[in-house]
Parts: sequence; structure tokens; C-alpha cells
Amino acid sequence: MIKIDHVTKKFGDFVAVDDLNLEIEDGEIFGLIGPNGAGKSTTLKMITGILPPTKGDVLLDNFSITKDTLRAKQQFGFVSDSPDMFLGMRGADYLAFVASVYKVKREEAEERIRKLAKEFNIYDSLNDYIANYSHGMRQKVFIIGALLHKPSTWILDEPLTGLDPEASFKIKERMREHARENKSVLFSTHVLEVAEKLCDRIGIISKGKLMFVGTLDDLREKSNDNGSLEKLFLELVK
Amino acid sequence: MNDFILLCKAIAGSTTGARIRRRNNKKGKSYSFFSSNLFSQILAGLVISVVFGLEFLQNAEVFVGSDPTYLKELFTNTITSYFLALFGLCLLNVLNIFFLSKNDQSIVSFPIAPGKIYLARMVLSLGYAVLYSFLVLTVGIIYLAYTGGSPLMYVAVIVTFLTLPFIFIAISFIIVNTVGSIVNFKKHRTLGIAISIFIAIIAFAAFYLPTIFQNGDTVQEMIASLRNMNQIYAQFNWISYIPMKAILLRESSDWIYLLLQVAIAVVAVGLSYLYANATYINNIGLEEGKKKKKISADKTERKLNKAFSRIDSNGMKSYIHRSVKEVLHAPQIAMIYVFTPIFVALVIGTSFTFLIPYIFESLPAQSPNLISTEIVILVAFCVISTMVYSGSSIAVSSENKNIALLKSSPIDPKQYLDSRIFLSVMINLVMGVIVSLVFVLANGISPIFILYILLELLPATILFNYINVWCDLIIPRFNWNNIAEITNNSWKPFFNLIVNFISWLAMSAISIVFILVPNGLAFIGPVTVGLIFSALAILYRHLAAKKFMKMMSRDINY
Repeated sequence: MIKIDHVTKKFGDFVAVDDLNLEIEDGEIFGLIGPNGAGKSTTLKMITGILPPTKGDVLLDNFSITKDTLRAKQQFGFVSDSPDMFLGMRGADYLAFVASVYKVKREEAEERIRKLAKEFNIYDSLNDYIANYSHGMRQKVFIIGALLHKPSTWILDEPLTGLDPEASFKIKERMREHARENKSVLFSTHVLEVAEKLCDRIGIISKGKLMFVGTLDDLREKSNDNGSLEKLFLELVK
Repeated sequence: MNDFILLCKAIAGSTTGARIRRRNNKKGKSYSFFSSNLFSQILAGLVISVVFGLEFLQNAEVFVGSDPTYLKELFTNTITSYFLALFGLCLLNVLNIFFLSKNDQSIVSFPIAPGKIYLARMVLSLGYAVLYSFLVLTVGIIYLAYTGGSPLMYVAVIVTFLTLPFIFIAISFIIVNTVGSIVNFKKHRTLGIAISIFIAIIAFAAFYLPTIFQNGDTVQEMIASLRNMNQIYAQFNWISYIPMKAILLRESSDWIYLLLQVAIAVVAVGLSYLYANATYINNIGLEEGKKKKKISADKTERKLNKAFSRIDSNGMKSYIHRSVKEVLHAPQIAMIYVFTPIFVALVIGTSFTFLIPYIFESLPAQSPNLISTEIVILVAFCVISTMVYSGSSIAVSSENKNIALLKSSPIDPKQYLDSRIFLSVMINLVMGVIVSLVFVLANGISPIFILYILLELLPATILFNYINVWCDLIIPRFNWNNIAEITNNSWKPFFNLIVNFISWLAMSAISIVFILVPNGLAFIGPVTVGLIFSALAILYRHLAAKKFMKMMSRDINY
């Protein structure tokens, strides 16, 4: 469960996120949608502790990311939008490192790495350096890393960028499975169709403000229009 | 011309500009480049040159009386030896700036002639080369002032000073570009580093070992020893032949050498430009990817099991493995972590080995063995305090973009920081022991004293490394494209050096107090100092971990 409590983020005079209030329940897939520069990534970075909020707080399974940082971080797995990291490590070494950071037992970690790597078709490449992976392969390694410790919350920033159709399908399936296990999924995306097909609820963010939170039906009801999500979205972020 | 300036700005912007612009939003963009890169390089160059210039002058005063021809010999050899050493540094900088920048691939994709990219990077590299040629200017002017050179000779020194940077960069580029065509730097990192270290050790053996084992007790023997070293340098004097002739201008016909110096600069730049146009794009466009080798399923499993075996209950193995792996995989960082400390340790250690016997003579002979111990310890401390600054001073900043994911992970700060200094501590410790051992053997001291040294060396190494990490955490910098941005343009390595040096002085003072302890209680000194270092190391580890957690909760540009 994620509780975003009146969170504001300022960079100097610029307000990137303005008094954001949001609760994401267990068993829910929540999509954060918005145009470029709307504040999606900043919001996710505040939730994951990468950026400190200027005001407000974020609770992950009731652990505050600002006060009880390490325990809060144990609760989620995060997939960044830029997988150009840890390039000097082999895929297997990186995953072993992640398992150690999250204190996952060796047998359990090994089993999960093998299973997920086979599922995402990168098992044979685990001994290669991440620097030698394609964008999509890097993304897959970081996705596996984020799932290793079976987090109660899965947070993904633009997770489908650069992935092949099969991997995209598998990630979407994984998200659904995660939600079925009564765990929450929060992800940001530009692809409205993905949000339309995958999300239980969506949040539309524009210029740092949350313009809408609810289901697609709520959105259609609100706008008194049965148009596409794209049309509704463009109206909201105008 | 305009587009060339824009290209220079684009390349400079991705290296030096970004940080300064953020810090000085109200200042102009052009200010950033000159303020950060060139200014720091020139300042460093001036300081180094003045120091070496004064040293030259001092030597000249000492030796000119005994042999007048020695001054010219000393001047020539000074220039030659620095040509050799600094040309090596120039090669490294060219490697960094021309071939290992992270924006290589985007630059390659633009419709810009490779020669133009080369020239733009040359403009940036001139800052480094200016540093090198300042030595020629300073020592040249001192020499001319000392020997009463004509005004024209001063002009010749300045012309030589101005043309040398172009020659250094152009020749370095030709060498690095040719080697790069044969060996893909990005693919063969470990091999490159191993070769560099091997060359450094060979150079050390060739230049310093003969000096160490030939030094004597009297001034005459010392001069003889220096002459032996000069003979070694003299074999390389052809390298500085033309610049030397150009500077000295002893006969009217020597003007030709000044013209030759200018001509060489023009030809070197011209040739390197043409060479860059033909081949540079292929080299900077090198993909990092290796052709995937087909390996058997058994081998894959073995390697996977090895990786999984590092998952342990406290995670330390994985932390250390990650840090070491990442350092060794990035050639620029590996140079700082591995190559520089080894090189510095060898040079400083052997210089001390050469000089310390003269200090022995001036010390009271109350207890020779005890004095020896303390001096050996001082040597070891000095070596460590000077070499330690390089790797751990960028221990956290070198994370670059990794910091984003680390910030979202429940990283144990102490484990993390221990893993970041592990490689530095190991190298410093091993080099400290080697240098001390060479010192002990060269000066006929009992090797048993190495045990005493270890008592102080291990906690001292950890302490100095933690001081560096702590300094790095004051203003860590993650948004770099080229490692030179956090090493060459940062105050931190110099600051760390000063902090370490002060720590060394303080601890040396304590060590010296123990010289007075009676012979049978010789262990008290090392044990006490070791305990003090250990306590300080624990304190700094705690402070660094606290600072790390604070940094992790702050805004960071990456």
C-alpha cells in the first residue's frame, strides 16, 4: 500500500509536484499518466526515496520514506526509466548484489533469478556485462532485480520503453499476477492504451497537479463523453 | 568558424560547463569553461612548475660550484625527464578526452567532419598541455636568469612554451589513435590497465632502482650517484634536443631550431588533423559490445553458481565484488584507483629511500634500531598519505548514474562505504608494505620492523581512505560524462591531499615522541599510534556513514 500525503516538490521557484494526495491499495494496478515534464518521474522518485519531498510524506506499508527510510525501501521494487546503470557488472553479479542488499536467502534468490531470467529470455546472457546488453535486455535485468525480494509494491517508471512485444506482454502479465497476489503496482506511462487495458485506476498529472484519479469509467462519466482515453486525456491536460 | 565554436561549446558543455552553470545561474555560459577547466589546470601547472623550478635552482646552486658544466646537464636532464613523465600524462589525457567520453556516440552521429571533432577536443585538451609546458617556461626562465640569457633567448623560451602543447597533443593523438585502431580500448580494459601498470613498474625499475642502490654517504658520492642517474636520462635527451636548442640559442645558426620547433608544431597538428579525418570516427565510434562467445551450458552454470555464491547473509561479498568489478571495468576509474596509487607509491617511496639515509646521519644515535623503525613508519605514512587521495576521493562520486537505483535501495551505509574503499585500502596497504620493505632492505634495517609498520599501516590506510570518502561526501558529483570532470576539475583531490598530509604530520609528531622510549619497549610507539589511528578510523567511518545517509536523503543531480 502506498500513501502519498500532501507531497510537494520544488526545484528553486519551480513547483514540479504540487500538493499531491493519493492512496494506492493492495491488489491494485495504478497508472500515472501525464505529458512530458508533468511530474510523473518526480513523483515516483519521491515515493522511492530518490528525491526528498519539499513538503509532505510518503508511506509504504505504513513506513515513512523520509523517517523510516531503510524499512520503507524494503517494501518496494523499483524499475527506473533509464537502465544505463551498473554497466561494469555482469547480469548475474548485479542480481546477486541486489539479493544481498535486500537480504534474500541464497537458495531463494537463486531459484527466483533462474526462473525470472528464463521467463524473460535472458538466462543465457546473465554472464555477460550489462554494458554489452541492449536497452531491452538491461531493462529486463532491472525488472528481475526489482522482483527478487518479492516486494509488496512494484514501482515502474516507463517500464515498457524499449522492450520487444514478447517482453512487454510478459511484464504486463507479471503486473497482473502481482496484483492478484494482493500486492500493489504503480507505474508511469505515456502509452494510454496500456493504461487503458491494464490499470484498475489511473491518475492524470499535469504541471505537477493531479487532475484526475479514478477508473476509466469515472473519467468518462466526469467528462460526459464516451470518447477514447486519448481524447479525454488531452482535454484534462490542456 | 561559428559552428566550430559551437562544437567546442557542445563538447565543453558536456564536460565542464553543466556544474558551473548550475552553481552560477546568473553568470554567462562562456565563463564556465574557462573558470573550471583551464583555470584549475593552469593554476596547478604554475604551482608544480614553480616548485620544480625552485628545486632546479637549489640543485644548481649546490652543484654548480663543484662542476660548472653540471648546470647545463642538469637543465637538459630536468627538461628531458619531465618530457618523458608528462608526455605519459598527456597520453592518458588524450585517451580520456578523445576516446573515452560518454558523448562519443552522439557526436559520431552528427554530420561533422572527424577532423573538426578532433580539433575541438584538442582545444579542450590544450588546458592540460599548458600545464605540462609551464614547466619548460618556468625552468627555462630560471635557467636564463641564472646564466644571463639575452632577451631573444627569453622570446625563444616563450615560443617553445606556446608550441609544445600542440606537439604533445598531436603526437599523443597519433599514438593513441593508432593503438586504438589495433586494440579496442573499451573492449580490452583489463589488458590495457595491466599493460599500463607493467610499463610503470619497468619505468620505475629503470629510473629509480639504480639510484637507490648507488647512493652514498658523502656529497661526492651523492653527486656521483646523480651523475649515474643523469647518464640514464641522457640517453633520452634526443627527445628534448630541438626544444633545448631552440631555448638556448647559443649560436646564430641555432635560430633554425626555433623555426624547426614551430614547424614541428604546425606539421604535427596538420598531420594529426589529416589522420583524424581518415580514421578518428571509426575509433570513437567503437561499440562497447563484444561478440558473444559461445560457451557451454556447463560453463554458464559454473559461472552462475560462482555469482550466486556471493549472496551471503550480510551481503559484504557482493558489495565488495560489485565495487571492485565496476572500478576495474571502467578504464578511467581504474587508472585512478589502481594505476595512480601504484605509480605514486613507487616514485615517492623510492625518493624517500634515496633521501632518508642523509636524515639518519643528523639524528641522535641513542637507539639506532628504534630511530630506524620510526623513520620507516614515517616513510610508509608519507607514501600512503600522498597516494591514497586518488581512488577514494571519488569513491561515491564515481557511482555516476548508479546512484539513482542505490538511492531507492535499502543500502547499508557502512557496508557500502567499506566496499567502496576496499580496493584502495588493499592497494595502499600492499604498496605501503612493498615500499617499506624496499626501504628496509636498501638501508640495511631488520625486516622485523615491517611488523611494527603493519600495526600502524592498516588502521592508517583505513583512516586516510575514510577521510577521503568523507570529503567526497561533502559535495558529491554524479552528473559527469567523463571521469576527468571529477578529478581534474575538482578541489577534492587537492583538499584530501592537504588533509592527509596534516594527519600524517600530526601522527608523525606522535611517532617521533616515541623515539625517546627505551629500546626494550620499542613496541609501545607503534601500538599506541596504531590504536590512535584505529580510534580515528572508527570515528571517520561513523561520520562518513552519517554523511552518506544525509546525502541519500538530499536532492542529487545525476
